[in-house]
Amino acid sequence: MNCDQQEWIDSYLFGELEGAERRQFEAKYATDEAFRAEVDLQAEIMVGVNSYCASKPTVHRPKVVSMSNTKKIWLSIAAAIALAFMVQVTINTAIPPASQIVEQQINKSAAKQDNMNDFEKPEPVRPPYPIYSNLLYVALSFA
Amino acid sequence: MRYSDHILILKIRSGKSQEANEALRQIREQSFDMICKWICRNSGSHADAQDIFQDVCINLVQNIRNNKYQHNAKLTTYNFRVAQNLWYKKLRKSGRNVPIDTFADVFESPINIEEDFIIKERNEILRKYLGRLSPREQEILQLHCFERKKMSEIAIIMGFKSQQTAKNFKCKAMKKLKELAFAGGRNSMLRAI
Repeated sequence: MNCDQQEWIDSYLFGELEGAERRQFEAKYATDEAFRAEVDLQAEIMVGVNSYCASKPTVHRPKVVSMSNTKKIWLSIAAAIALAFMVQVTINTAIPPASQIVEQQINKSAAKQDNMNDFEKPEPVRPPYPIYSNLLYVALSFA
Repeated sequence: MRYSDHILILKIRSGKSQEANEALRQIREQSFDMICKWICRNSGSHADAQDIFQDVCINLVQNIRNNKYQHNAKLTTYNFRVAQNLWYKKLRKSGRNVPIDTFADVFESPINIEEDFIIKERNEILRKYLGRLSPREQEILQLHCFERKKMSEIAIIMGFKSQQTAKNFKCKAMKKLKELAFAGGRNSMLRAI
């Protein structure tokens, strides 16, 4: 059986044939034994597929939405601005202002002068901002 | 002209009133006498049988259209069983005694167990071979037979170049399924089991 005949049978089984075409189909179904067997088999398969699909758990196909290039560019610009803003905020909170650093150093040197006779271990030199900001710079340079 | 059970099911499922009426007319010719005889034997009347048969038809149409119907027996068997259950329910509601199946009920039952068994077997085989088709073949048959999508829609959903390509692919899948499940006769049946 060729594809066109299969389509014709499908149309009848879906109730899409009307008028003369429908009468022609029914006349063939009533007289042609081989055609009748073919139609019955096709109908059996359709009913089988229906019951198979009805008993199968339904899978919802995810919708694939492709983004336009303009949208992609705007989105990447917005992401870059947001990242820059976050970096700025992190650096501002991590590093104290320069005037505060100078004041701290003056206080320290004054305290050292006062306790010249004491044997104190010198304090290790620490960077003025925490280590994670260094890491952030490295990450940004990679990005 | 008498149609096979499968065609009757598809006619009801098509949702067109003309098709459904034609199918229900044939179902009435096949099942009503059997149901009426049984109800009259179990303390009912012709009018009761007509009421019950109407409910049977409603039940059948609803189940087919809501995809709850599983074709595991002849339509006459299905209708007879539903009628029996509805009649027992009605008897219980009205406070009358529900009759126990007598010797005659069992041996003079209109249900042909052998034919029902064959239908069930064929259905099982079909389901097994459907499960063995490739996912794309299964998908196209599902879209065409179950979801009743047009070929143009199927071509878009499945990413075919044209409607004709989709048609050819569906045709091949259908042919493959027919050959796998039914062309081999008993051999294919044994392979499936």
